[in-house]
Amino acid sequence: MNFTYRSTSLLILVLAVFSWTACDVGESGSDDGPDFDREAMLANFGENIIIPSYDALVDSLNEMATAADNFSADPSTATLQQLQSTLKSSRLAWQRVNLFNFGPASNNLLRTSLNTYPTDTARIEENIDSGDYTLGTVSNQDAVGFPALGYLLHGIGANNQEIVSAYTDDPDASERMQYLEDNVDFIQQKASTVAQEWSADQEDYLTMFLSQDNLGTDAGSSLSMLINAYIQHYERYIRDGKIGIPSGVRSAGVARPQATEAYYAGYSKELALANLQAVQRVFKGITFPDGMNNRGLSDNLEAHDETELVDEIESNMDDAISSVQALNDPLSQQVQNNNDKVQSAFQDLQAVVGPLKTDMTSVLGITITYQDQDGD
Amino acid sequence: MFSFQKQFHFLTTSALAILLAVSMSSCDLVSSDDDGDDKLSPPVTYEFKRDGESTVAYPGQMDRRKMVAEMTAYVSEADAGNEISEQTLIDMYTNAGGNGGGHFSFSSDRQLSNKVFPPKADNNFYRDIFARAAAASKKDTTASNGQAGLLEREQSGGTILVSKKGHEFTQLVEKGLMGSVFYHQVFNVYLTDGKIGPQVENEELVEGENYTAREHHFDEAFGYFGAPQDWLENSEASGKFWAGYASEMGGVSSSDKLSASTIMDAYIKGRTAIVNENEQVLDEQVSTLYEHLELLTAATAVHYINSTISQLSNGNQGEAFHALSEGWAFVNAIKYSPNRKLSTDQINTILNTHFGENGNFWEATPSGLRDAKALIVDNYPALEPVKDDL
Repeated sequence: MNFTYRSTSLLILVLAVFSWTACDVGESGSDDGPDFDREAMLANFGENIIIPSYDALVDSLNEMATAADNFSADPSTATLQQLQSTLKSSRLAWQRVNLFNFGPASNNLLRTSLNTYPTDTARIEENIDSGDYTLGTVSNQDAVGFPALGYLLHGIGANNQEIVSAYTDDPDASERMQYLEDNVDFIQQKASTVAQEWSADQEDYLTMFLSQDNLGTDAGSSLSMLINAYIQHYERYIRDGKIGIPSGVRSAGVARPQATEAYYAGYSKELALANLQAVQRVFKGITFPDGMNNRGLSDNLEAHDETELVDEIESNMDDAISSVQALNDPLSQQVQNNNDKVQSAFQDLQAVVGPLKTDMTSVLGITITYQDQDGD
Repeated sequence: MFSFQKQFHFLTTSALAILLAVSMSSCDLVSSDDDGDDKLSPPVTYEFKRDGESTVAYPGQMDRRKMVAEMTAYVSEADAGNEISEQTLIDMYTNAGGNGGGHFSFSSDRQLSNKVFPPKADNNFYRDIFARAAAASKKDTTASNGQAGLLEREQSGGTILVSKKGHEFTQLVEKGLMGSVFYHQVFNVYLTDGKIGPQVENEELVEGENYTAREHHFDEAFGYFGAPQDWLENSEASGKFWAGYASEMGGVSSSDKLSASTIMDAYIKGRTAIVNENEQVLDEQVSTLYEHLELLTAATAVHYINSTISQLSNGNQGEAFHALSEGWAFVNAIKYSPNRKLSTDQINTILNTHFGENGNFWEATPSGLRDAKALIVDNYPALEPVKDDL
């Protein structure tokens, strides 16, 4: 009797669950084990890493805008240096957010607007000449953003004296100054828009990022978007964009110095290093700016008893960081003088991809939704 | 005691079985509401018979679907960098000599050129595209702002030939004709009273055929949709053209607003209503078709705007222009719907401002693209919950 009763209940339960799951198309969750709180990890990413990093970028861009105003009001090597230094800190701040190219960043084309390189100097000069341009258009993508500022503040003279005179004495000095200021404005606007869209007191993407509907691991879930953006950024924009392509992996081993990120400003390696450190911090869940070790991808893997995989990823990341550290700026010269070291850094960067892209995603139940691509 | 217990179990099980059936049928999107008076209830597939023989036929639509497919294949040779000929395109479009001037793999006495939206604007539009596509294909240049030529597709590989404004010729031809022939013919010809109204002959068979004029006209509206007759029942049968997009867009949402079966159902029930001469049911199904076919275009347009933004955000300009060319044609197609929820002014704003000043994709901005999306979603509130998933 008891047996009958139990088997009936069991049958009913199974059927009920089955019928329920048959209707359910939304969430899917992999079991992270009893000790892991995915929502808390996402909250750590959103509240303690992503939003403060955007805010820091915006602060830095505000300082750059002030420095640009000062330079415009009183062009001198002193005000130029000030502007160059705020450009550098902004580009470093950018390295902490560029790995989050989903949601507001993707909708606003933040990456292509701020950091398409190599910059098209001919197009920049054309725009300055004509004075007729809209900086946000597709056709101006490679004439705007940080790389364009790099050219305008470092690349138009042999030294700072000459650069200042391009803004004071040259026939097109005032048009050039205008373009510089428009570009500074453009970058500031773009980044502020994205920061506002994330912000809880403005458009509040954060709430959507943390909403119950998006807590699964299916294609539209927050974790899936974050991990896809993260790995795609690592593969395509760090391994290839910052190191591989300048070292010639896409051009039959022929180095392409002009394809370095900060070709005119000369600190491409420093930017690459900063970006790798940001990648590492997201993996570990380290907060910004206070550097607390909170929940991150490594913790999520450990909840699945994947300590070995965590060790492998962390040790490969450490190796990649040391070999990028061992490179010299300007990277554009290193790829011409001692490219072997750059190519071996590329190999070390590559060694992180497999464990991240194949092993980590399969443990966490995440599908890679972006397509690989050959060439640049 | 024992039997009571057993009976109790039986009752619980039955109650749960009923609950289960109810909960399962809540997933079921097909509802059947039979009208007592009707002679025929709607079949599962688009199959209708008289004296054991099928009454369904739409060879003209099949021919024109093949024409569009073969023209598309020809134009796309230019995407690969090959030269194409303006005359060949005109011959295919007008079906010269009954076989597209020797360029069709079949022969037919129909043509596309006499079915495009009248009076002249669309005809001129296609002839102009043929001339420009052919000229661009001869130049072997890379496309840039103001310069027609080839653009690399970064993900799918290969190249596309685009106009000086970045519009992909292949998409303008294929998706363009889906709008100005297929869609226009459904909306402004075959689903109108003149073709399927109560005064249209529905007793006498058309000479030599097994169908009435009224039945046949409705089948022609079905033929332009691009669904096989056993669509959605037979999982092997895939829809072409509009039906293909109905599957794709229906796949993003469990809501019946975008479900492909809503459209297929309306075709089946509408055709059944013609057999039954049930004017009320026919009216309902026809308005469902008007509403949902238009919604499908709007959804597809939003899908391609999303895709454009996402491709641009990864720096894939060729992919983005491909997607935006599709988006351009789908937004443009809305204008053929007589009940359109977007005004022609709004359509123009999207095409000629939001997609770049003067429709120049090189001048497109992310805020313009987002404005376009917002304007479409505002006018089609059914898209609001799925606008980012499309």
